[in-house]
Amino acid sequence: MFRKCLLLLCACFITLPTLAAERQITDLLGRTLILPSQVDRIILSEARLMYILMPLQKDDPFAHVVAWSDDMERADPDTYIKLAETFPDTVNTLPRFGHPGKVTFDVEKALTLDAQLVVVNQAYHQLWQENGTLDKLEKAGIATLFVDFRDAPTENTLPSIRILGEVLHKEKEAEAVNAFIAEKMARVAERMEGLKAEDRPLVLMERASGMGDCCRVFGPNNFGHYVELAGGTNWGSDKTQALSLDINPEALVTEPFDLIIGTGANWQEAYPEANSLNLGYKAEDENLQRGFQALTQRAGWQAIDAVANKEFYGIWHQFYNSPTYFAAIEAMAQWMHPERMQGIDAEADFREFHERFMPFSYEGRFWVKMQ
Amino acid sequence: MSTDAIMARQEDRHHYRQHQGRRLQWVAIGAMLLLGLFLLDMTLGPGKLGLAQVAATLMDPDGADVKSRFIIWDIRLPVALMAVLVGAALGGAGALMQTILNNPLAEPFTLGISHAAAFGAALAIAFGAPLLPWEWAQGYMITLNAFLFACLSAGVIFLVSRMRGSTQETMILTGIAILFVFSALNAMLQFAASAETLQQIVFWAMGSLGRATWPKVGVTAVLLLLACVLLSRSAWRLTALRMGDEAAEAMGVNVNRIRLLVLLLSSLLAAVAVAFVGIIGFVGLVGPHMARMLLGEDQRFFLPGSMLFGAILLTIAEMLSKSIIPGILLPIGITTSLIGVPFFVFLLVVVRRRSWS
Repeated sequence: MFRKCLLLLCACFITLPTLAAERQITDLLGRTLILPSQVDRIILSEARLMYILMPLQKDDPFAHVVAWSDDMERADPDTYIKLAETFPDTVNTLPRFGHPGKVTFDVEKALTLDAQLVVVNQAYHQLWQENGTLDKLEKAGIATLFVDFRDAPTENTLPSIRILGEVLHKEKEAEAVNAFIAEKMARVAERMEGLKAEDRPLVLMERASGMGDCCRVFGPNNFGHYVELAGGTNWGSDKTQALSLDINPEALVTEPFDLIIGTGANWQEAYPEANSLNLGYKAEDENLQRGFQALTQRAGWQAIDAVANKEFYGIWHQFYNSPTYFAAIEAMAQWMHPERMQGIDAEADFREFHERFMPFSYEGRFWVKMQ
Repeated sequence: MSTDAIMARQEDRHHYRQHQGRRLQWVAIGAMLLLGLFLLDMTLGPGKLGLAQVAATLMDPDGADVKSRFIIWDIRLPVALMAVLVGAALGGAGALMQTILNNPLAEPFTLGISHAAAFGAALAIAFGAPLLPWEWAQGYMITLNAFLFACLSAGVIFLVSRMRGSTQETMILTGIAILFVFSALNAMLQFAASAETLQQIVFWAMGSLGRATWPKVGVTAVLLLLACVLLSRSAWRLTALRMGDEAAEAMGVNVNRIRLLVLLLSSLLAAVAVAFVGIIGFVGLVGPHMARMLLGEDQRFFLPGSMLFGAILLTIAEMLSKSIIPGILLPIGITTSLIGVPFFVFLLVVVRRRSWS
């Protein structure tokens, strides 16, 4: 009997560690997944998921990543170039998957890479469920983790960072970066407390200034939401739920806009005809003012009061899907409410974020005022 | 000649005149309607200018303030005129294509011309690949690329038709082949494009009259006028063509020649329209059918009627596109189909006469 008990006890001791080695993680959609204790073979279904990963493993952002996607170099060449400069070997050799919005995920390729986990933006959940990708991955023994940094950046980015921190046993790092962002956001909210509706400037938030017909404006989400958080009224917010819409050029001169803010990024190579604001890591001041000159030459823009008052600003387009949105909100708040924002320096905060949480150095221009 | 025969002839003539009179009436009603809609269009917009102020700014631009002048002369007038001109161009092009191809489904869209134009535009948007080397062309790269590709597709239909004999089947099948080629190429470009570029390509294709500028209005007007002059001289040949190739030939019509000529002319009209404002389907299909239902097959009425109905449709669509959400422009391609379809179905049900024979 004693021997039997001893054997049982031994068996327990042998199996316990392996049981303990598996753990449960709840993703952003509330799905529970079972993961091995050490996850070291991850596929990023979108390269821009690096935004979430970088603050967690600043010194080696590609650690545990066995493949990513081809979206970043087209959607955000700025960050891609910085990554490629800093980690040329990894960026050039890391296997790539097609973007989930464009092609069906290649489960077979994931298997050949011995992947343990695929990280996906929550926007693709329905698609992956319906096209069988989720089932196939499950049968292949590969877990799928849904996060979000784009649909609702200000709500979902921090929880997503926390979840990935848990997956990678980087809870401390996740907490540090989340605390940093949350503190900056809370500070702006505090400064805007008691702000009356009539003290909120009316903002025309233009999407991708200079690209295509004039002009596309943001609806209530994303940059539209940033404007509201920064103490402004986003003109497009009550027009529709759509992400962005064409404004009637007539409204440009008839609506009493106090401020115009346009987004811009390093699109010059991909789209040479655009007279856009080439903000980003490689931006130069002189070039940016030339961008403003071209943008104010558009039909009717001379007749806009905000342009005449030089209340025309540019902001880095990529803030729309990056944890660094806090810097955009701080900068906008500084433009609209300098007296309330006294003592806050958006650029210093953004620089500090790079020093503490980003794998590459801070340089360039991310927002600008027309001179 | 017996008295009976003379009486009968007089009666015929009387019938004919009555018939013509009724058609003229319809055309006149259409023209009045278009004028009314055009004026109404001029008063709509977020600028909230009264009719008097609109009229005053139109009559005396220098006397008006800067904002009113900008709103009326730089925004509303070119857009309203462009709606009329592009509607007429598309309606006319559709009517011509239906006639020469003897097919009720023919229009710039079904012949692949719109898709070719969209591909040309997408090429310019995605790669900034200009087809013309000159400096001045850079600012119009998207428009020019769209135009060149539309002409290219028409040219291919033209050449294949010349080689294989200009039968209707050859033209239609070549057109459909072109449609598939360019929609595949378009899909490929969209697949490869970045997020912002994709957005531009998709929205370009949805169409917008907001792209109207005075030079574009001028080019479209001149071309439309030219087409009207050319066509007014060969309207009877086209009417004959609708009776069948053999009948037309028996009346002394050079069927091949007129078919190729009209194909070129209608493609040109469609190409300009699509290049300037993007893809607007349906007008080219439905404008002519409405005209046929109300005015019949005689090209002297059918052609201007198609243009008139095209212009009316697009003007209404334009007003809706800026009125549904004040301050916001909905893509014109969307509103055109949304208002055109119910109206068309209404006509189909109410007008019992067989319009296509």
